[in-house]
Amino acid sequence: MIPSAPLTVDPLGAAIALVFTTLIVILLGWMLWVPRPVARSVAMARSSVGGVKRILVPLEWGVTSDRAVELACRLGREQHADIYLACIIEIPRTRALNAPLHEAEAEEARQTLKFAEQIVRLSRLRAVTMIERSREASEGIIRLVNEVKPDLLVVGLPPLYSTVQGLVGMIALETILRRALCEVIVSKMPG
Amino acid sequence: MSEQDGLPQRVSLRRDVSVWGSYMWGFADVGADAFVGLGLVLAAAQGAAPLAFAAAGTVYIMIGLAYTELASAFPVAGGGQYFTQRGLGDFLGFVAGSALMLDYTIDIALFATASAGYANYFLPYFGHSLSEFVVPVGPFTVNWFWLAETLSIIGFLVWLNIRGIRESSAVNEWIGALVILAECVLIAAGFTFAWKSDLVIGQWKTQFPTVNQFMYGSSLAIISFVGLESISQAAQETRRPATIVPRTSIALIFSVFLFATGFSLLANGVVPWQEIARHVDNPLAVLAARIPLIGEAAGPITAMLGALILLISANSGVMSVSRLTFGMSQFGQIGEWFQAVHPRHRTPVRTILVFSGIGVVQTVAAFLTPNALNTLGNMYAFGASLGYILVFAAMIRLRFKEPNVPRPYLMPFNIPLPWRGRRVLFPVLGLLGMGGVAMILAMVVWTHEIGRIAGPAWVAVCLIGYLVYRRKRGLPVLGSVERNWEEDQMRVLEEAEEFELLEQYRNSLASDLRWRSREGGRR
Repeated sequence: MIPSAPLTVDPLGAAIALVFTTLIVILLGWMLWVPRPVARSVAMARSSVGGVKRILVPLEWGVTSDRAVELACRLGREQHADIYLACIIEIPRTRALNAPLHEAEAEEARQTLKFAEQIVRLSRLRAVTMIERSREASEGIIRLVNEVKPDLLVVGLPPLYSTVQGLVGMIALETILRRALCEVIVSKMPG
Repeated sequence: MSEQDGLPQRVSLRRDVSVWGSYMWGFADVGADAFVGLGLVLAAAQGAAPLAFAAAGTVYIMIGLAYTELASAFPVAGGGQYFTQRGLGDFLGFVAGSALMLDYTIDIALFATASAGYANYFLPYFGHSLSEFVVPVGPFTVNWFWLAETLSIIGFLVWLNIRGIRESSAVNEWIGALVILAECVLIAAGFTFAWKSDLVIGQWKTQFPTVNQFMYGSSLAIISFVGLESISQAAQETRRPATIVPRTSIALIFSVFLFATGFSLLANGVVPWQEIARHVDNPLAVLAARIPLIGEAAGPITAMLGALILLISANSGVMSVSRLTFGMSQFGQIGEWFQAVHPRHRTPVRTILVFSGIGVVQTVAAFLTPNALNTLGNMYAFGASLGYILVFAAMIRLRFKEPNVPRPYLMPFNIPLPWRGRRVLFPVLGLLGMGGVAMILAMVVWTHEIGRIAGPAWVAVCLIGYLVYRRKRGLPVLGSVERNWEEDQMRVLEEAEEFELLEQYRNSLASDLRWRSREGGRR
């Protein structure tokens, strides 16, 4: 028969006992709390959006593209997607495509990217900026899609269907929808 | 098994293990080590025993995290062997498998023997003592009663495992819950009513071990690694494994760490280490008896709990070795004959019978030596250390080889590296863990006299068998059989009803394929 030790309460020992018991209870409680299973259709819907890790936003149509950037950030926030911001500069056919940009053009592009980048930073996402020159915006966007390989392309459109600018936008959009090898979301402002 | 056409029918294992069952498969192995290992570690590491447990625990946590990542990403029977095969190829997969096979068969023998040993605590209550049953057998002396008890336990566990995982898992769950509750009471009551910080400090200052003693103690504490593997082994039979396995695995790692360091710290604060070292067979009973208020009843209760936890630990051994070899058979590493599943209970009946039989042979052989427990324990750490080194290597390799596989849990501390046009996370902790286990293997080979001979000999014999079998089947010996791992992964996730991960995997593969073909077209 082994005699018991005398009853002594060491404050440190009591504290260790309390910490130990608390940790075990928390640990086992956390383990036993298992999230509910997800139905296949729900899983498919969730994963199709959750898998979007790289979003490309072409910045061409002025203020409407800022809203497209914000939309892209909201779509990519949960899965910490990278936002690729591409300022598309259309070069007239009267100029060589690789000719230096006019200072005003370059400055405007820099400003556009700067503002868009600020929007992305507010969402605490990573922004990658680039300037793309092309004869037509749609052609430049398709080229970028092939290079950047985004999971999602967010295109902002102005609310001007009845005007010539709106018509050009529609033609460009059709080209993008037809040729882009990724999901495309079009954000058209009402009006 | 249905053999109408003369060939074994491929039947999948039943998914029946719950979250608590998954946890208890692991705890059954690891929890039992406190009952066997506490005295051994205290005897070696003396006043620094809590530090030895903490040092071993650090490596153990890293191994646990690696297993958590792999078992949740690849929830199939086979555990470490399967991960190694998938990451490093068939040959190294077999090496890992043979090492773990050794461990599990030893596990059956060791813990069944120890369980019977704890049960023998009650012999004096019936007017007998264990020494009465020792008889000479040729040049040896054998305790026939203890041996018969051990063999009966193994027989009972074989029957239980053939009956089905639900039944054997239920045994684990109930007994495990009781043991956890009792261990919590012992630690809480011990620290509150008997623990003295002065005694711990005094032993630390005056009874600090030498470096060699400390290393030996740490290598003994490392034995508790084997329990982690059990969760992986049961992953193919666990409901929603990708969701459940990370939780049970992490809970197991940290709860066992708390119990192991808690008991060693408690022991050093309640009694001088020499007293525990004198009762290596029953250290927890001695410790429990010293606790005021509950001490009188603690002896028999601790002995009963010891017998129960060691029984379910042996049960984990039967389960794990049968699932490991079942998986190896499916991958053409051992004969197809082992793929048979019981037609009614859907359990791998042949692997249960054959490898538990090897456990029986090891038990009988160990009883012919002067100290059966010591002989079995000596071989225990070798297989685990070798297997875990390969598992770490496989984990690192799989990050690069199969980056598309969704990993519900990722080992922390990763460095992003560019790799073939994509970003891969290199696991720094995995590399450190591999180094840590390599050191432990070196210590085991250096200090364990039987393990350093019998361990490599076992692996060598298995490799000869592998060589003969692969040549006979016309399969590559050092190379690997071509397999469609992607299809296999999708099937596993589909069977496990892990639809979210399945969709993630499909999307990732599709995205990869789309851009690869696009790149090819552009070139």
